[in-house]
Amino acid sequence: MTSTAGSRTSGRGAARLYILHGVPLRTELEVPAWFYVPPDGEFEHDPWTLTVSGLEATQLSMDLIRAGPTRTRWDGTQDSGTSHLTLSGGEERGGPVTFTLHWARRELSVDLAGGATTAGVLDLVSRWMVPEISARERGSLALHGTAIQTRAGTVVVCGPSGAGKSTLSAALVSNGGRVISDEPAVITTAGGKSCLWQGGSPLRLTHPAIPAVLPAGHSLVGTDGDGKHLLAPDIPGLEPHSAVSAVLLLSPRRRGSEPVIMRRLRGGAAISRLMAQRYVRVTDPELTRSAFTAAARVANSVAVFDATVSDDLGLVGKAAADIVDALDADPSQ
Amino acid sequence: MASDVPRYRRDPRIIAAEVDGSLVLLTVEMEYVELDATGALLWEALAEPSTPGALADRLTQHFDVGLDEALGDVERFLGQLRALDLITVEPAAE
Repeated sequence: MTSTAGSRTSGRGAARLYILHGVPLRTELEVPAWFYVPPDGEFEHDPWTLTVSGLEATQLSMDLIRAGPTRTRWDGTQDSGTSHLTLSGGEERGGPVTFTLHWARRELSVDLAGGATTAGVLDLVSRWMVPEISARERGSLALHGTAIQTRAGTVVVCGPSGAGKSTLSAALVSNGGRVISDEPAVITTAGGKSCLWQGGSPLRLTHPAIPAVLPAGHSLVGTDGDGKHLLAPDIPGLEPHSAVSAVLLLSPRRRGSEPVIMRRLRGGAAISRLMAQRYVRVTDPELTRSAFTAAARVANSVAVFDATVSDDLGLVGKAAADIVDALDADPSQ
Repeated sequence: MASDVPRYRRDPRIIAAEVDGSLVLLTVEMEYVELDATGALLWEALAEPSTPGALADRLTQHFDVGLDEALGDVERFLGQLRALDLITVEPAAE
């Protein structure tokens, strides 16, 4: 059964259809400018319907979202084809938030105990739940990372906070790359080829010089509450992006004059490191097994590297150039 | 025919994926175990209840190894898999 994109009408008002990480999502909420509005066309699946409760206490904050996966906790239960996932640990920041996914009915409901802005709700849904839907329905793998399209193919940069992920991503953009998706990067593998779907979140950049070095065509959409610059994703067509050529798993930065050191990971090392970078790590065996299978497919179709970048910011630009040169010369090195 | 030899079988909760020529297992405790080509061959055989002797026979068919040496390798391998709770043991038939 197919659905047609475009404006929809429901009992409560106009609902519009959006595509996030390849998942069609119908919502009545006003969306930020960086959200993707697809062209009219036919879709493979019926859209999911998003409903939200707890919006009355608006304007609370997006701090819960910024807290990120390292400072929050997920709990999940499943019954009769319904997943109940609660994001907590940020109660003082507007949480907890409970998501309920009715898989058969294709309905996603969000209950905000503390309230949040509309943009905050959509950011939560885009970052946390749509990747889970994509994982279950498409066998995708959602990684804690940023996807940059370069002349050597799309590179996904993953790593813990402080490893230099955003700075390296910005340097790749300065070297001619384009931001495709940020936090998470959702990779779907089909036919032995891994592709990346555009997400719904702007890249957050900390380096003060970044706005000045961005090439033409890259637009900043403002700053967030922490003063970080927000770089809008480069909106593609409806189809998945070009093949992912490499996943870089960053280790903490190191001192030294070498801009970047890359080491190819294989077999169990590649899978375990990819699993450690999953964006949502709910203690649900079924979801974990799905992610394992997806990680194996990614590891078989994409070069996975451990990479460490110099802590000398002056060398990060050289590191980005070296990475693209290395991948361009031999992506399987 | 009655047998007093136990038979071993994969724990069905374990899932496996082949990556770069290795077989990687995800355990019930969500840990990872990587098997080489020999281990992967034996893991494949353990889809059905198998005796150590039958597994050793399989090794001799695929690798240049004698039966006694193969049996020793199989016993060590099964011991490792049992320690990791990756296989179940069916009691000897009456």
